Amino acid sequence: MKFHLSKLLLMIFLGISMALASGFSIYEQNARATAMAGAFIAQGTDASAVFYNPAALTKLDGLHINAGTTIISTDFGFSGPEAIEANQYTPAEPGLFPPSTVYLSYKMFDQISLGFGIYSLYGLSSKWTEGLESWPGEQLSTNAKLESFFYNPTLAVKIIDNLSVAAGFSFIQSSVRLEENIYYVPRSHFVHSVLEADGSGYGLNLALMFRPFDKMNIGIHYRNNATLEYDNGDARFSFSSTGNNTVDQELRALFPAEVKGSSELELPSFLGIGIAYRFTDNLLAEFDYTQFGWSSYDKLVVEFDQPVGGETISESVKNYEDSYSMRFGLEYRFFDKMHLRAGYIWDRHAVPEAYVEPSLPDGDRHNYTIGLGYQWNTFSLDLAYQALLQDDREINNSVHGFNGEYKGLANIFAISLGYSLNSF
Amino acid sequence: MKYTILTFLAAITLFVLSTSCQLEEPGFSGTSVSQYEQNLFSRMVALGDNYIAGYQNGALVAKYQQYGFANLMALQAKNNNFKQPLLAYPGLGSESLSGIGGVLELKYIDNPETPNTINPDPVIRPVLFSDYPDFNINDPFIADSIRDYPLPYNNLAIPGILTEDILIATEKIYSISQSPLIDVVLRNPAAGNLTALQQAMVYQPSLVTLWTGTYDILAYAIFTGQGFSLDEPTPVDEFEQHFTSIVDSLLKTQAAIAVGNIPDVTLAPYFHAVPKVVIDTVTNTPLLDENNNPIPLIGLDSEDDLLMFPAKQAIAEGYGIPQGIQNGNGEPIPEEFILDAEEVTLVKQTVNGYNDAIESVCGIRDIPVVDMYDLFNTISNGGYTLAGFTFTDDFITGGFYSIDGIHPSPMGQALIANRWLDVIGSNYQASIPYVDIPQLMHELESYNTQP
Repeated sequence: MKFHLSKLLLMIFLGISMALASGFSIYEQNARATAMAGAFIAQGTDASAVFYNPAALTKLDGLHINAGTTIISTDFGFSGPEAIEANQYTPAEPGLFPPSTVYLSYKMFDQISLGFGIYSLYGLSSKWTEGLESWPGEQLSTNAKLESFFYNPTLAVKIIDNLSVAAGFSFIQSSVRLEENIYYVPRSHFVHSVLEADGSGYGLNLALMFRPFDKMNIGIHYRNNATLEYDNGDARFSFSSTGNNTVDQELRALFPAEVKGSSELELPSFLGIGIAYRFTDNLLAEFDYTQFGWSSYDKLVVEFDQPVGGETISESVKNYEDSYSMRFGLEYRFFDKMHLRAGYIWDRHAVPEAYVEPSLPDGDRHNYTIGLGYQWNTFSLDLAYQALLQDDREINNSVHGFNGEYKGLANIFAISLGYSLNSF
Repeated sequence: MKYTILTFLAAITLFVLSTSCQLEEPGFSGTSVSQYEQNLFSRMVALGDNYIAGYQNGALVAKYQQYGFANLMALQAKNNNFKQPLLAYPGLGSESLSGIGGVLELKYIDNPETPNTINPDPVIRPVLFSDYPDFNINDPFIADSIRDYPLPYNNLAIPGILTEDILIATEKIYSISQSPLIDVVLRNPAAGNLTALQQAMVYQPSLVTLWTGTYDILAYAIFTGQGFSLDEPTPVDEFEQHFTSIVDSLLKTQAAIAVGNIPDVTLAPYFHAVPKVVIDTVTNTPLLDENNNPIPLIGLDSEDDLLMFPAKQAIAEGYGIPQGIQNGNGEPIPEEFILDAEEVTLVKQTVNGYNDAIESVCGIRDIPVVDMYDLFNTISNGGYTLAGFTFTDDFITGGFYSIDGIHPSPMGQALIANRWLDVIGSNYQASIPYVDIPQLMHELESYNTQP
């Protein structure tokens, strides 16, 4: 008998979620930089240069420590699907997650500086419902979460007075959790699937900082496309009893309580170029172009160690596209020790219209940032607020049959504390 | 100075926190159905054969009739009084003529008696009449109030009839198709010896949904066992003539009319579910010869020959399997289980002929046609995806067809209903909410425990 249980499972596990810069990168890794729209590649005036441009570390004398947290509060919703009711609105559960950072830099010799950073370049969280609770997009995603931690030592070298370069290495840890509901047609019954896995990988980054003349800095930062391996993850399946023993056993046989699964995720490459210009002693402006090579994420394949719904492999097409951002930041110094900062980011979507689905309601974004910094002696405190306003995104050609309109925004609050010891 | 700055910082922070952005959520209080729209559907009548009758899983039975697309449409238009000849469980269908049982059920997705199968080996069988002693073939209605309902049913479609029967049949014995369900639906002579068409007309319908002609082809194409069958499909010109008479009569009633065209029935899983090669009875995978090639069944002469679902039984008995392999008897598969390439061509030509006729008859009369041909084609060519679920023509798992392999399932009926609502809506200025298929999928979860 020709019989395809596989079709059931094609859509299993395959969302990955909501993010900040398009795709699921998080570029907000320091309050000072965030206040300037992340336009920071050509500055690097504190230890967060480990993240933004490690070549700038050669400008910091002695020992610098910087630690901070970014609180990201998201609010998303979907109207649709059009094929049923275009105006039916489902809000996602408000999200709140706090990626945190620690940066260290130390100038060993006049020409050589070392840096180390812990940060979360990728992350996302989107939750629509809990467990088997229904919502129209439940067969696409009910809950998705991804976290990453980069442990990034770096070495910066000043080649000549106005030119520095750096190279870094990252050990990347990640965890992912993807949930959705699967409809088992032969018994008209929903099964809840949870995939949880820890993964790791290695990444490299290279950077350059150049000062063509006194008032201008140019920075370049590149990260390679690291691959995260998620091995030995858990795929768990649960369902409410159908009230019929035979059917329950059948479901259990097809959807085991727990199987092992593994997957791979190729992270995007990154390229950022920034130009900073000091108009006066008190006024600095920077413009950055940043690009994530999201086209690396063309599909997500999960392999199981035993059949699930008759299949051991589930594949979902993602077809992400490279995305880029324009970042413009200003910093104005007043009262000598205070800095007022502001900026704007235009961020282009990474997910093409046909592939947008609820786990990552991606779209073009306008971000407005503002922030304050204060320095006393060896301490610094920076605060930032970023309003992320996503253009309403109307989907008309969804390959998932989920046309409709996504709305979304996020409020981002960042705080960073710095300490420097110049004569260490 | 320091305090000034700290106060300033605190003030800014508070300001930012209190003015952070909030998402404006659109208000939506559900789609309403206007009085005009309710009136349009208030005296809706369905005419035709199996598909519009709500026949599913090889039978007519209340459990599935309520999910027939005509009823689903009526419910969407807030008409809760769409009367159907609801039949008690297990209903009447293809397995009832021989007295065995009614609706088909999926007993097992993978037969426990063949535990070593690699491919699942589903067990589908009729629900036995002997398990439902209260069920009376001669009075199969779910309630006396249904049997004795004093008006014609709103759903006057009759499974297993030819288009001409809509015009002439008053009772089974006075019909061409001899469908036993004629008597169940029309209830003559008590109903005044009126045909389905006459009953529809005397009811003074507000809306008539007509989908007929498919059984004029199925009666030729499928294996009907002891039931009525045709040596060739009703010829196109005859169909056109009957269809025109029906439409012209209906036009006299002032009712809004919508017509469905004919799907390519050869796409149904009924013609594709049984592999055309010898299957290893232990693993349920194709048996390979010494050169690792599958072994074709005997009796299939062309790649385009289609094997019907009931061939499964003949193959199990050894037909089509060469002697010396498993229980093969070396005999070809009986022709009655094969729709050969020429017959397939005839079926497809007839479908196209009917559809051209429907198009031209309705075109000049300004009657909207719902493109069922297109929907069934979509299902078979890549499928139709809704909210992450893809409807395909896969047997049992595809979601569109019920387990008889021919008639759409409740989910398929809902897709069909939405197509009809679209066409009726755009032609009669109505905007009826679509059947909420994701929600329906939840509603159907209770079917595992309810007969």
